[in-house]
Amino acid sequence: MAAVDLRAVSKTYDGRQLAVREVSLSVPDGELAVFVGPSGCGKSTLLRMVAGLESISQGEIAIGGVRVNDLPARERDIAMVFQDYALYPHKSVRENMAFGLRLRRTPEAEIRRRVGEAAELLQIGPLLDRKPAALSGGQRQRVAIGRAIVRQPKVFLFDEPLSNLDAQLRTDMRAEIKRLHQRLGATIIYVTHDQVEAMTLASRIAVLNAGQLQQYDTPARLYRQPHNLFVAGFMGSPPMNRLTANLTPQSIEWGGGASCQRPTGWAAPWPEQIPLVLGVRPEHVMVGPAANDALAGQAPVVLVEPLGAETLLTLQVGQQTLVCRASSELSVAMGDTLTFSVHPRHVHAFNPDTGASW
Amino acid sequence: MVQNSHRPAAPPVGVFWWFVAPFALLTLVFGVWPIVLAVQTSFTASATALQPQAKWVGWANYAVLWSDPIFMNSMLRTLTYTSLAVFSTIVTALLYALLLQSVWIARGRLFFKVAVFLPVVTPDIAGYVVWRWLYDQSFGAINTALEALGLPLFGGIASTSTVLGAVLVAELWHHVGFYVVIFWANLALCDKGQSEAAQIDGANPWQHFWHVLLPQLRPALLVNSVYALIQYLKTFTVVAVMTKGGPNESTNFVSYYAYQLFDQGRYGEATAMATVLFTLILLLAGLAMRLQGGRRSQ
Repeated sequence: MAAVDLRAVSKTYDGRQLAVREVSLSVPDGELAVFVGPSGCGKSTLLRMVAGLESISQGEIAIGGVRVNDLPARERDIAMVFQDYALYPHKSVRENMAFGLRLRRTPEAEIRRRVGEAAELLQIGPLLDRKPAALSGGQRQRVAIGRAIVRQPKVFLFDEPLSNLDAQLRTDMRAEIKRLHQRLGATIIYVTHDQVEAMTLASRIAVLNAGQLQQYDTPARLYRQPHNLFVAGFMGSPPMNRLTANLTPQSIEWGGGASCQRPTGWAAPWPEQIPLVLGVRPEHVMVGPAANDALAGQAPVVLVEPLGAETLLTLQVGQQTLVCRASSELSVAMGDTLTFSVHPRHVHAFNPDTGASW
Repeated sequence: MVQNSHRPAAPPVGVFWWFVAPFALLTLVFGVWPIVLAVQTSFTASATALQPQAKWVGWANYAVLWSDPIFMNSMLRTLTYTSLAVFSTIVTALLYALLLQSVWIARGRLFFKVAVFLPVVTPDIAGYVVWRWLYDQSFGAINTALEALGLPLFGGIASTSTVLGAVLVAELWHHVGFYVVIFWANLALCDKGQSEAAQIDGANPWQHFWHVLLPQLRPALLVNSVYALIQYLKTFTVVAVMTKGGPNESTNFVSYYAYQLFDQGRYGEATAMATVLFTLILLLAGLAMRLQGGRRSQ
């Protein structure tokens, strides 16, 4: 096991196109870090640079304190699980898992023991003599994970490992990977575009956009204190409400004539009388009579989406919309006008020009 | 996909036959019919072979071949040369295709592609005439160069010990580009993911080739070895142009020997010889296909 350090890592193609720019972060020994972001954000490129499958244009990557920039993939002592599994089709499951050990001249008895253990852990014992073509997608992914485990590498790299599985299997495998991490105590870097996967698995999440690191934090802090509008919008489903607003001494103006009552005695920690973007999580928008210390207003309901346990309500605030996560017991119809309120401590403010949080 | 729903209706089967007919006819007239005639001729007496009522002699021509030491030697020589040639062709073509893929020649890739394929589209006779000149003992470029460097001279096509090698080099030069194209196309289809997984598993370049690339190259290996087998068993042009079967019979392969006998009016024996060769090719090619096909279904 080992820590992974990225110091100002950049990737350029053809000397100009920047795929990753100056990313610095540390994955402590034994932690599961998730790189998350929309497609094309550079998360996979970053992972492949750690793996040694892409060269590092600038900066430095260290595994276990040793600079690996110039080490080929085979000498970095890492294992990787690929999105499309990348199993060797002409080898049996057993040989797929044993291949890396054989190349390292591990004694036969040791190979048998490790493959057996991994197969038991992943419940693929009965499949050991099959070829990959005779396996389902979920089974193949287990074999790919098994192939990584038997190596007992310093670091595990997962490149969107669940993207090719159907929704139910994805949820099951996600839980299994989490258990596996807890059991092995291994350092894992996990790439995904799915923020739910990121939130559920990670000890730390790196949010990337357009090749730049937006924020690297624990899931809780990332959710509660997003550093910018991108992170606020990317993490959480439905995403954080983002509304342009103007603070005046008496009220909060939403534009289009809509406004909110401002709690008496509340001093906003942000500048007054200039346009701001205010962010509010849907679960923090309360429906019904407002407390005195809350921001409160009235708005018509334009969309009702029942989800079973809860209902998503979309309110029209001036020309903007506000999504609210309400109890499913609340009976609301489209066109109803509701009173909503938000406690000031749940309001985030962002600079509309830079997107950075105040 | 939208395109699928607008796919034009399949044309009537009749149209298919109209397109196929001219080529099917050509194949029948110039391909299949001569083979049938040759097989038929191999069972007739040479003296009457070209007459309407040829004299039927049963297996007599084949019996003559069986007891003809020149034929038996020629057959042995053909088989030896073919094994050597198939092996060198496959290995050379595979190495060259890997070279074309490698990063070492990033800039010169086009040059290397043209260099290997140009001989394939060069008329073979012209190419072999040039090779004959290159090997010439008195004014050939090869020996002139060796002499200038103070190295021992090369026997080329004049010496029985070097002629097979010399002929093989000329044939490789002419043919190998074709096999390179097949390997190269197959290499382009190989799964990059497996290669990356192997790198991470710790495979060095040789282990990567052996465990990951080679299994994926099976289709090209099959096509190339069957095609090369057929081609080298029929070796004729290079002999006719460069050595006329010599020196001292050492390049007198079955096709060339059959041609010589035919030239002497020994039609029965010549066609018997051709029939033996044809059957051999058919059997070996069938065997190769079967071996590979069997492995694939495992």
